[in-house]
Amino acid sequence: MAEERDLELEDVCPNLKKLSYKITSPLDHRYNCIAFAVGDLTHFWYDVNVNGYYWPPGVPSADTLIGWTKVFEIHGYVETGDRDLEPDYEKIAIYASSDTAEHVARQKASGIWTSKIGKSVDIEHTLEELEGDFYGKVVKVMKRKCLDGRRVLE
Amino acid sequence: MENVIKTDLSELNVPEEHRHGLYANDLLVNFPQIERIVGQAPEEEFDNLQNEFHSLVKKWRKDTQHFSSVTKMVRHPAYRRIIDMGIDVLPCLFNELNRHPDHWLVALNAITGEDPAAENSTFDEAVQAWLAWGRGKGYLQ
Repeated sequence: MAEERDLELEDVCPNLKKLSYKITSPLDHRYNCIAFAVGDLTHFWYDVNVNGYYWPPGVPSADTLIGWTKVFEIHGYVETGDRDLEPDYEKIAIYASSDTAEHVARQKASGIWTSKIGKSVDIEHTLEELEGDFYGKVVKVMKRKCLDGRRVLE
Repeated sequence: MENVIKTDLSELNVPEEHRHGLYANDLLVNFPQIERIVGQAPEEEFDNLQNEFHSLVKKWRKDTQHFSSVTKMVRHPAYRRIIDMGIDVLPCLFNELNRHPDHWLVALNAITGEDPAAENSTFDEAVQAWLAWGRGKGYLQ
């Protein structure tokens, strides 16, 4: 059973203290936010020079915003300026501080956003709740058309 | 044993007022030029190493639990210190990986120069490969 609050996360992301977020999974070190956003819960996506991590071949560094953007382009996403729910589209939002990508969330059919917090838990949240010094701001929203009217991820 | 510096504290420029009442951990933490404390009983030496290791793990885990970036995780000073502890820390590291799997693969690779996990392995598969390697080398019972 997932905990109701993550006080340490609230400390680094104070907007979460509004308490509209919801923890939806136990702790899991095996995957990160970018893996979660593409629907892979078995790999920790990062370009590390040891085996056990995954990063798509040919994609720029995982330390860069351009690298993360490329990952989602590979998965069929294109940039959009609209972060609101569009029923025929799946959306992701990338948080960054300057040129360093820090976090990514994906939107559910309800319009709420969900993401994996580092090595920790999955949560449902608003985009604003994770903005701040720790993850930076949402700098890019991307979308892809649902396949045959159905979302690939939910 | 490799990388052991046998010396007097005076040779390390440890100020005289700091030479008394210091614990081994204090020396290791505060004087990075010290790689290893010699002249201690092996059990005491290992206890000190274990204690330092566990406090570093606790600090690292707390500070990095919300990072998605492996780069940030492994640049954390506690993680760097564990790598700097070298092969002596391997029994502690393998025990920790066995009991609480976490992102120790980079440290293990940095210390041993090995990578027993297969390409394209999942994180869990890589952990299992490392544990098998550690058992084979006698670092893990």
